[in-house]
Amino acid sequence: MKKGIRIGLIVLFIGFLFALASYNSLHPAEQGYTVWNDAMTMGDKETAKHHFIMYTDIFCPYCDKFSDAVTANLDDFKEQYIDGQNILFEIRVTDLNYLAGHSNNSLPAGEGAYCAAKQNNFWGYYHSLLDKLFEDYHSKGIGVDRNSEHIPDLNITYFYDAAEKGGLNREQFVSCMEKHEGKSELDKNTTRTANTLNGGVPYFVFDKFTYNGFMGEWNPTTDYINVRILMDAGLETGKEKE
Amino acid sequence: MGEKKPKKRSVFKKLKQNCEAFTNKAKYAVVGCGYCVRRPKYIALFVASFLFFLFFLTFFRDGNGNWQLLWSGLSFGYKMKVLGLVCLAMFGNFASLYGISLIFLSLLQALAIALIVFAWRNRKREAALDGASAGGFASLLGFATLGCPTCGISFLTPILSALAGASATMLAERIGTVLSILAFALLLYAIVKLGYTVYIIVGTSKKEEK
Repeated sequence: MKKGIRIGLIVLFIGFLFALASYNSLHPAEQGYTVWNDAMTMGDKETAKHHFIMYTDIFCPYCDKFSDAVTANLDDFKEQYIDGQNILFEIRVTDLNYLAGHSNNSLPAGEGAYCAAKQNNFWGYYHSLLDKLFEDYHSKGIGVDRNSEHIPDLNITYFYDAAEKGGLNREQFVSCMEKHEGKSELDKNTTRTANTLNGGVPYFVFDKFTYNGFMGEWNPTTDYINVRILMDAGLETGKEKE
Repeated sequence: MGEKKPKKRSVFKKLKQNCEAFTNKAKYAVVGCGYCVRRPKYIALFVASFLFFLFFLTFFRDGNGNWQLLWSGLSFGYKMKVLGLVCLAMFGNFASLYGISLIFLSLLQALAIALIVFAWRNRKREAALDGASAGGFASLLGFATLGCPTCGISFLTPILSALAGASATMLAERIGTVLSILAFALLLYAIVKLGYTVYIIVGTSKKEEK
């Protein structure tokens, strides 16, 4: 009798965990897409057949792992997917990690993203900041996963330097950051994301396929294989449901 | 007031005695584990269990993305490729502290499985069931803490976000650390108990042989 109860409890506990974990993955994908910020997209909005969204936080290591792999293979990514499959790739930047108390850097990084979008050069800022973070921290094993050393609170000039290196106008960027011109949009999008996901980032929505997390070893060459699998899964799942 | 002091002393004395008894048991358990793992049948079981647990933990290491890929529209061959990549990623675990903790957890799980089967086959079923309960619970705790709580991708996050909203990721990280330690402690406790049982089994059979 005791054994039966024990086994029953274990089965119930497993079922409970699975139900809750799968609730997140089975959350219905967003219908009737609208782009949140035009400057944060790649591809042709007017003619795109597919919509690929990445919900991210610049100080989320798994998000950066994905973006680093894409950036290192950007020509192939554009040729095979963005242009080849007519995909509109949209990045939705949040500061969820700041909100959750994980990283104070998320807030200026996120505000910077919307300031860069105002100059219509989000990608320049994004790639430059990720390159800088990889060089200074991720490549040294800092801020790469849950057990690694955390990235310290960065001086605001770190983001100004990244913006300048990414081809943005430094004075305009500094002025935007000082006046917190990107904050309201960042706050709005973070709240929308938090209400949509019920979990964390990176969260990918490819038409009707959703994907949570990203597997990789901080090696842009091998990690790109996982990017391709994710993209192919989105394309194939779309075909299956048509 | 005067009666309380001896009571306190007796509690500490009891605690000390229990600790000493557990340490002694642990010493015999190490010998018991040695007996068990030296037998070819159990080495095979240990290795197979270790690979199974490491694969399972690696599969869910970075969130539940791999699970979602298996239920996507990818072809069967492509899904096999996903599983193959997880096999390769098992070796990547040696490169990070997080990965090494998964390897260590898998080793303990595998040892517990080998000991449970040994005890079960030698008619110590009550001890085997106790070990299986503790080991099973430790596995669930270990599984629940997988992922990246910093990014909110942990099996704990959806559970906690229902209770704590946006602060769920922070809570998940803190609770995850506590649960990880608890999982290791529970597994070690189960292994000591089972290892000691195996030591008794082997000791008794040797006496009987004499």
